[in-house]
Amino acid sequence: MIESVEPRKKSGTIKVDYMARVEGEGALDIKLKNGQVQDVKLKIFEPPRLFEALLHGRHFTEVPDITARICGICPIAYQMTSVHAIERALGITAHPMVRLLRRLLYSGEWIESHVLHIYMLHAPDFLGYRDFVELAKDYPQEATEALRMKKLGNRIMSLLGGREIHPVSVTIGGFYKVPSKADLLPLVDELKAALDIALAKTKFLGGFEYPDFEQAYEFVALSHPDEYPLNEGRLVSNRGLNIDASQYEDRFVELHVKHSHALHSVIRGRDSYQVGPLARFNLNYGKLPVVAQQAADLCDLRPPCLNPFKSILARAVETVFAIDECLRVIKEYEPPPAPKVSYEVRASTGQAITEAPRGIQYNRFSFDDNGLILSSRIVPPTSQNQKRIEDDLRSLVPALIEQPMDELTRRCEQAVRNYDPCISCATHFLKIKVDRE
Amino acid sequence: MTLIIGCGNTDRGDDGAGILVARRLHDLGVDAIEHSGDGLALLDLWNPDDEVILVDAVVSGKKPGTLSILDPILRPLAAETFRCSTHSFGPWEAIELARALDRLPKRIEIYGIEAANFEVGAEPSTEVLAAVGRVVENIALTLTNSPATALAPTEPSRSPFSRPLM
Repeated sequence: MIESVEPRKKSGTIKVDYMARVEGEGALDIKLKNGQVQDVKLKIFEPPRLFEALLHGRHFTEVPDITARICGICPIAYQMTSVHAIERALGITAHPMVRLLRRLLYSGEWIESHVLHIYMLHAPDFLGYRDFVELAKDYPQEATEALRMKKLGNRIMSLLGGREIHPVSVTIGGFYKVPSKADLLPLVDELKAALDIALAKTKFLGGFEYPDFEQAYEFVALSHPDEYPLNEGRLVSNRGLNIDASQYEDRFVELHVKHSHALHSVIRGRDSYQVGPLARFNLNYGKLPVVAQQAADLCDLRPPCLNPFKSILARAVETVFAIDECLRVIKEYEPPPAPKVSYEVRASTGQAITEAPRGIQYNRFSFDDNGLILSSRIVPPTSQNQKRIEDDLRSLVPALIEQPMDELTRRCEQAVRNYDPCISCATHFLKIKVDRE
Repeated sequence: MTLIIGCGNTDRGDDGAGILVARRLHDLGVDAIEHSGDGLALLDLWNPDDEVILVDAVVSGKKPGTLSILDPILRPLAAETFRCSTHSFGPWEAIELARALDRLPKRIEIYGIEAANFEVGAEPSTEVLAAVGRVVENIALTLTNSPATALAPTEPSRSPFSRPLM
């Protein structure tokens, strides 16, 4: 809902009660005075969900399944980050084939989540539609192909995880059950078809009109010597950050802000930063397979890209990567001797960072000699991007100040969606309010 | 093929109505699908030749427990009715997207049970539970009496939002 405002005034109030096409519920207040932004607040009023406290006293083997419940879109991100943190604490190295299967599972989530955001949540902004249903009426082929790709992502998650949402197969040291090669081969034809669709669609997406807007971002993403990052790597940035997951809390700090139930994450001594597809693309372009680099060429996306509105293109390139990665994994996969490796329980602490579809996910767990959780820390990507979203809006709004209120509001919503915020993860709708004094 | 789909979330008070209908039908030996109501997943459930009965909690301003039978093929649904779904993409979006993409089933009938309380962990209200019982009886009776015309509208020109069941 857009509250009554006086358009084209350089001071005053915009208020949108419910912003659609974001995961969860939040609000945005923007105060303007004489054409200048006085204050921007991304307000997350979803009550804290207290998952960290919920884990206290639970056995670490329960952690992957409990944390997966944080999100219905990206449960694998929580499972993977939890599993890796606990395995690091215990010095467990999973079998190489288990590692491959985890990349396959995570790639399935990337496909499902990226396609959902590109076509159902973000593309309507660029094409001027209220929602995906309206878009589908004019672009039935694109809508049908998007649904086909998303279904494939869900199928992969279902095959490996036991079900599409909140999979239940992942455990410390491996999987409860692993597929045979024959179980995976039926995916190949559909993956090849999806690769063709995803590749062709990057050209379609590249034809959108992109606002002329760039910012001097600190991009933060994992970096792995041999591969485009998913499950592991060092945390790097374009401003010299290069750390292990165990150093994360030394370099990043989460701040309480009055207007949000989600914490604001900043780099100590510096400021906000961007995580997600554009950060990964800019920092890891050289690790993309040739077919994904071709996709980037098709939509004219080149690193470094400083335009957050083009994150939709990075997401499209990563969709190509993820589909190609699934094909690679299935080709190389042979079932491991056992679904999981054995280990001994001892008191320890472990941290891990993985690349969720929306950016880096950090988890830390400490447990006692019986494996019972003593403390935990879960930092989702939306929490990390939250301040950066506010900073983008602070820069974007003055250039749009002459626009009618509905256009200004539409652009603000589009800018927020650049980050595919999963507000329900960060602690759910976005209300936008702009005050013009 | 007739598909019976009960949508909702039993951890959110009255929102569990559709799921409860599916479970009770299952207990009576009738195949019924329990579904979260995720629109994109719903779209994949039916084929063009299917007949679909979909049961879900609705919010249209009526008294809790009020039953409405909606025929979205005869008349498009009011978008707001189902906007309590996950990530704002639920049954309404599934049906309207299916219409846009020419993927509607042959027939689709929606039993809407008016809901009011969506509190986490709450039990469904007495009124909603009573409505669940009436919907189960009606579906079971209709299927038993005339399977071939189980979904035939009794009042083709009815207002889809105001047909009381019994």
